[in-house]
Amino acid sequence: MTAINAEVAARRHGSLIRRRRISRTWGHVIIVAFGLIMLYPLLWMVASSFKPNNEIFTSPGLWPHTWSLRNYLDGWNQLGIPFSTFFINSFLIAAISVVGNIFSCSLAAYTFARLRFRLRGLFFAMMIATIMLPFQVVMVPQYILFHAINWTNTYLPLVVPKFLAVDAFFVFLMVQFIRGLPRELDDAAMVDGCGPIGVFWRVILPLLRPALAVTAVFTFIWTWNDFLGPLIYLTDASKYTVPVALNAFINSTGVTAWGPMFAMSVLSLLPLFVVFLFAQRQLIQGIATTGIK
Amino acid sequence: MSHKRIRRRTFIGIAGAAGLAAGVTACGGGGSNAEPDGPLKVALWGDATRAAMYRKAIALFTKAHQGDTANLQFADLDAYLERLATESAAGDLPDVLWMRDTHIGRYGKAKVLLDYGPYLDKTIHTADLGKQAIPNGKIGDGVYALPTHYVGQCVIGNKPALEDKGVKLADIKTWDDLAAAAKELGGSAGTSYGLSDPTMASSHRDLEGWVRQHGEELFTPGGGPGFTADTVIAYYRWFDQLRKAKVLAPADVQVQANGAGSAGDLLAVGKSALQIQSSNQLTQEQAVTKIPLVMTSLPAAADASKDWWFFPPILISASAKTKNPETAAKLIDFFLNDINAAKITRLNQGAPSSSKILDALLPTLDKSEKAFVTQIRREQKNPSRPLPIRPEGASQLDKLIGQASQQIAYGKASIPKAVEQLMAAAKKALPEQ
Repeated sequence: MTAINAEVAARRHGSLIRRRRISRTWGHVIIVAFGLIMLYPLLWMVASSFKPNNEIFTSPGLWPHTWSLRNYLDGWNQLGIPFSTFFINSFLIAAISVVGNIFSCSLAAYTFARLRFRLRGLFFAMMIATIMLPFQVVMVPQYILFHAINWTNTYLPLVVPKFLAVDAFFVFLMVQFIRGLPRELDDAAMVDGCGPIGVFWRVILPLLRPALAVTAVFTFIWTWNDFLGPLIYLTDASKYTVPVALNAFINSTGVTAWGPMFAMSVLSLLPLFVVFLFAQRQLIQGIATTGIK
Repeated sequence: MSHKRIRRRTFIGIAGAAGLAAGVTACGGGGSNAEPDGPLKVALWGDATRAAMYRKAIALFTKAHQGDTANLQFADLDAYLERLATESAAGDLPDVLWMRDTHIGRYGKAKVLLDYGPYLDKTIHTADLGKQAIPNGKIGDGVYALPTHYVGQCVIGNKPALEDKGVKLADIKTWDDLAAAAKELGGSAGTSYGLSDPTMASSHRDLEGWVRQHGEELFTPGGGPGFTADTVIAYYRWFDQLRKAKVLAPADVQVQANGAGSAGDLLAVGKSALQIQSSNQLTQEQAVTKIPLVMTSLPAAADASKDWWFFPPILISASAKTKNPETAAKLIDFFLNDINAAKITRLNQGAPSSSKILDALLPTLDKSEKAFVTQIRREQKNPSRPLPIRPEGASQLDKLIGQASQQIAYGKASIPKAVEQLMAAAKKALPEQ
């Protein structure tokens, strides 16, 4: 009797596992299908970058009839300046912006989160309010300012502000993170003789790492992809960043070189892909601990 | 406590100062473009290919004018206009700039452009540019722009499809002729549609043609809407009959194709047999498709006003604040009248406005280029009343027309209802002055 019971139980258990496995398989199928739909535009772009220009909009389906690297070779030199120049320009601006934001936003965040000074609440509110200002609103006044000090057609308007903690989103992110750190650590450091700078440098900054990683990755991505800022400030083609250079393939009143543009677009995604790949763990940790979900 | 507070304040001070110092020293060197004898800043819209042509032309100018140099900046149209608006607000417009006819009203009225008055026929010669050249850029008492090129409207056809059905493009004279041809051609030589749907485009030159043929204008001299609801309703009804007969390209197909530009165009990929568009696009389309294309003039209503013909100008202006107005004027004259420069820039922006340049270019043109130039020259001999200067809300009107077109094409509103809304919104967007 008990043997039969055990057999029935085992069979039930087996079918339960099987059923679970099937439902999990289905779940995966649905997720993969959904993922492919989301990825389709990207796949289309990658596939088109290997097609001759006249095949891009005429042949249905992703798979090119003829594979060709022509677009990559043409696109690299089509603008009269090798595309490496634009990669270097973009990389330079992005790297300096990352350093600037990490440096200035962490200092500003520490100040707001830990130090007491007059009108702190008001300044904090003003800082938060700037998150709500779209770039288009401040674009013209900023341009007037930078034009007055002769900074147009240089990288300065794009990188110098990053050293002044103007990206309020990151300041806010770090403020929230620092508020979650126990104050006892600060007090212990103070007892051991640390001043505010010592506390920041020895206690807060090491613990802030996940938030710094989020800041670094997002600053890199946003700066790398920024179009409007570089478009307005950089007028020399040799100073263009990657997105502005990609725009130089487009002629909406004439013929656009789609193939070369797609090819260079694919290449321009690679640095972002690499950054994500290496920063993934830090990023997930940072997102989980800073409350941006 | 007070000791602590001071230390904190000191910290804040140090942090702020460090931020500033780091910012300023992060990368040294600032640019300057304000010196009076420095190179001129020249701006045009388009891609790198166009920019390379114009750089070559500028090099010719530098050679001929003992070192007067110019730096060219460029971006695609939308980005170009955005940059121009910012530079204009900061009083930093390029010395010489190509100006869209849709925006000349706004910039001219804002007095940010150089009045050509003192330079006309001294430094800037207009004798070969045709009668419409000065009116094209005249706002109030000043002339703020001149046309370097013109474009026209036309119907382009898929030659094998036309031959397949024995339809002659040159026989299409009226809108009724066009409707009959489109109905005949749908499905011939592998095409799916008889006619592409121009109402889905972002600019509406064909509507302007229709309106002018009915003796009206898109804009009154005071900048208000100059067209009546009846005329616009008739225009949409004409397209709607073809849409209902499944001759016109469906709206979703058309919108998708418009996003791809010339290369993905319905005519270029062989899906449409006929297409209404700017006539300069014949050469661009022919360059990206193997299908032989032919063109004819935009049809006219049987009772059309005789002087409806119009040619949107590609304008060139200078900044009112340029430190070198004389050199800027010389460079503008060079772009308007220099034959050697035109041999480099060819028909890239349209048909050159100067008849002398056109004469010089003609022997060097290929078949489709010749067809375009011959057609626009023939059309320009027709009577043509001046094209109204676009007022400030002109681009808004383009958007409103686009919205009405979409509502009608997607069946979201009846034609009278959509046009009624369009008329009300147009009155708001274009206040009569």
